[in-house]
Amino acid sequence: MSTADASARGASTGVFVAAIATGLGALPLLVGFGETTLPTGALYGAGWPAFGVAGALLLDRGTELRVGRTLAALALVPAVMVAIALPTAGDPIWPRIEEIWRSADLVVVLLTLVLLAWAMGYAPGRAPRRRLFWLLVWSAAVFGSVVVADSVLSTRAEALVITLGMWSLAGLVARLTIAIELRPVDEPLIDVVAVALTLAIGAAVGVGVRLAGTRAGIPAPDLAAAFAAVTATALAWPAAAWWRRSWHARRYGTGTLTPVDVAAITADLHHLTDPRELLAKAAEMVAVSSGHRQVTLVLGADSPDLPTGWVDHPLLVGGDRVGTLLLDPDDPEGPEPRQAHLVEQLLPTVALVCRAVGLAVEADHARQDVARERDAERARILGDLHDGLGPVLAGMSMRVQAELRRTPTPLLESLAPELAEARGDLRRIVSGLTPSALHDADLTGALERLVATFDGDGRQVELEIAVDHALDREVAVAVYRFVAEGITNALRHGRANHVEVRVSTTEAGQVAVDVRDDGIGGPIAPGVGLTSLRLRAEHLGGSLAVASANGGGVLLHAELPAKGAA
Amino acid sequence: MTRVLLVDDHPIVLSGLSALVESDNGLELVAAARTAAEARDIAAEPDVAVIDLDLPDGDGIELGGTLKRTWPDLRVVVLTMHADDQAVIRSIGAGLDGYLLKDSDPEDLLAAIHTAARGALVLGRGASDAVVAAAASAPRTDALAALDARDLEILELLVQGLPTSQVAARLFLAPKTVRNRVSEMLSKLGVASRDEAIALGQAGGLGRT
Repeated sequence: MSTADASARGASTGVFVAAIATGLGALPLLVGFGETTLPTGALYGAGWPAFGVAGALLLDRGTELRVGRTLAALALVPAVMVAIALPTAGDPIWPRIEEIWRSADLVVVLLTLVLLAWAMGYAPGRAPRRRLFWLLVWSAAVFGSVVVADSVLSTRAEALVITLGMWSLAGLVARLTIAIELRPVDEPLIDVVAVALTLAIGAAVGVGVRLAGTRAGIPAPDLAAAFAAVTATALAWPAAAWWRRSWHARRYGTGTLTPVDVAAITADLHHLTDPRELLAKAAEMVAVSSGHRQVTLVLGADSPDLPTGWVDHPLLVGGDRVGTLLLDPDDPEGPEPRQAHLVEQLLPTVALVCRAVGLAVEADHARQDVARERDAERARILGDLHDGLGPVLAGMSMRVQAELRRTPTPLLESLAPELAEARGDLRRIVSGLTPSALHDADLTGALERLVATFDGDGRQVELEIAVDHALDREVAVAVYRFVAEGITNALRHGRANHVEVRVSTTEAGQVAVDVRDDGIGGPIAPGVGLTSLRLRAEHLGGSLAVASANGGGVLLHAELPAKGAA
Repeated sequence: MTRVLLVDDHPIVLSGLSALVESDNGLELVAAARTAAEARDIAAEPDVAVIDLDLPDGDGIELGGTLKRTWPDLRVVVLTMHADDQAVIRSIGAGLDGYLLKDSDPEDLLAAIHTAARGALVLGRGASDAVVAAAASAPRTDALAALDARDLEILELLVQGLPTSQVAARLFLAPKTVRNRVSEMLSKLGVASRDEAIALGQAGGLGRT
C-alpha cells in the first residue's frame, strides 16, 4: 500500500472509524476537564484513547488490519465504562464511574492485554516471535505495576499508573507492528543491567560511606556519602560499559575492520606461496568483525553448495561475479540485522580482495604454464640435439680413429681429441641445461656425475660439498649450472690443470659456490654463460663475483638464498 | 680373428663402426646391416654382434636373442646412445653380453668388442646418467601436456584421493566449478571417467609430493 494511494484515496473508512472511537473514548476525559479538579473516574480511562490513535495509524497503513481494528475497539473502553455506570449513577455521576473502575480495573486491564496479545497473534519466524515476546514482557511489566499500585497507592495514583501503562502499550504496539527488524529482547536488558549495576555500586558505596561517616562522627556525612556515591558511579560506568561492549562483541562481532586488522590480513602476503591463503584470512576477519561462527570465501562465478543454516552473498566487481561469501551465523534463523548490515558494508572490500586473489592465481597459473612449456621445449631441443648430433659425432670419431690407426697424420691426430672434446661438450650441454639433471633433487649426485665428466686426461677436478639443508629446486639448478660453467671456463679458457669446487650452505640460509682454478688467470671477459648465470643469481636474490685467485688462476664466487624468491 | 657383425640404422655410426672394426687387425667385419631383417638374413656366422638398441624394424635386444638362438656361440653387445638402466637390465636379462655407449672413446669400443669375444661381460661407462635422467623425465608431461596449470592443480588433488568437495575447499572454489573443470579436463585428456584421468595423472608423476 503506497503513500500515493493513501493520499489519493483520502482517509479510509478504517481511519475514520478509529478517529470516532478515539473521540468517544476520550469523551469522559474531555467532560472531566470541565470539573474544577479532574475526577478520578475520568483519569482512569485516560489511557485507552491512545489505542485509538495507534489503531488509526495502522489502519491508515493498511497492514495488520486485525491489530488496527482491535486497537480502535479498545479506544471505546472508557465510553463503555461510563455507559455501564450511567444507569445506576446519581448526580454527579463521577463517584459512580470511579467506583465501577475501582472494582473492575484489574479485569479491564487484563482483558485489554489479552486482546492485544490475541490481535498480535503468533506466527513462526523470528520477527513475529520477537514481537509477541516484547508485547508479553511489557504487558507483564504493566500489569505488575498496576497490581502493585492497586494494593499500595491511592486510587488517583493507581489511575495515573494505568493511564501511563496504556499509553506505553499503545506506543509499543504501534512500534512493534510497524518495525521490520526487532532486536532480541535480552539486548536492551543488558543496557538496563549495566546501568543498574553502576547505580547499585554507586549507591552501595554511598550507603557505606554514610554509615561509616555517621559512626566516625564526621561532620556532614550526607555530603561525603553523596560525593562518594557520585564518584563511585562515575568510576564504575566505564567498567559497566566495557562489559556491555564485550557482551555485544561476543554476540555481534567487533563490528569494524580497523587498519590494524587489514594490516594483519595482508601482513604475510609476500610469504604466502598460494595467494588463496589470503582468502582464508579475509574470511576470518569478516567472521571476527561480524560475529559469525565461520566464514568462507569461494572464487569464481558459480554458486557454491550452501550448507544448512548458512547465508551467502555474491561478490561483484564491475558487475562481474568474482566469488561468493558464505556465512555461518550463530542463530539458526540467520544473522541479526546489525550483523547483516556490517556484512553488507564489508562486501565491496571482500569482493575486491577476491578479485585480486583471483588475478594472482591466474598470474601464477600462467607463470607455471610458461615454465612448463619452457621445460618441455628445452627437453625436446636437448633430446633432438643429443639424438641427432650425438650419433654423428660418435660415427665421425670412429672413422677418424680408424683412419688414425691405419695412417696417422697430424690432421687426424689433432682431429681425434677435438672430436672427443666435442662429444664431451654435447654431453655436458644436454645434462647441464636441463633442470631434469636434478631429477630427484639430488644435487650432490648430480654434481659428482658432472665433475666425473671433466676429470681425467691429466686434469683434476676436486669437489667438496657441505650442504646441510635442502635447497629449492630452482636454486639447486642454478648451483649446478654455475659449477658446470665454472669448470668449463677454467679448463677451456684458463687452461687449468686443477680445479677446486666447493658448495656450502651458510648459517644465514645462503648457499655459496666457489670454483677456484690454477690456470692462467688474467682478465676474464664475461661470456654468454657467465652473464646469464649472473642474471640468474640476481633473479634469485643472490650475487656472482669473479676475482683473481691467490697464486694465479681465477676464483668464481656465487651466493644464493637457499630458498628461492618465488 | 674375431668375426664381427654390426647392426645400426644410423649410416654415419655404421660406417664409423665398420671402419673402426676394419682398422683392427684382430677383427674381421663379416657384415654390416641397417635393419633387423637384414641382420637375420645374414648367412655367415659371426663371433660378436654389435646391435643398436633402437632399430627401425624392431628391438635390438630381441634381435640379439634371435641371433643367439641361431648361433649359440655368438656374443651380443647392445649399442646405445643412452646409458638407460632399463635397457641394460633388459639386455643382461635376455642373456646378452653387455652394452656399449655410442659416444665412448673409439678405442674403448674396440677394446670392448675384444672383451666380449673373450666371453666377458661388457658394461659401457655410464657417463651420461644425467642424460638418462633427462630422457626419463621428458615424457612425464606428454600424457598431461594438454592440461594447463589450473587443470593440473585439480588433478594433483584428485590423485591424492580427495573428493570433489575437499578439492573445492582446498582451492577456494565452488564444487560446481571443480566438477565443470574436471569434465573439461576429461575431454582434454580424451578419457571417459575421473578414474582414468587419475590413473593418467599417477602415471604422469602427479601426487608424489
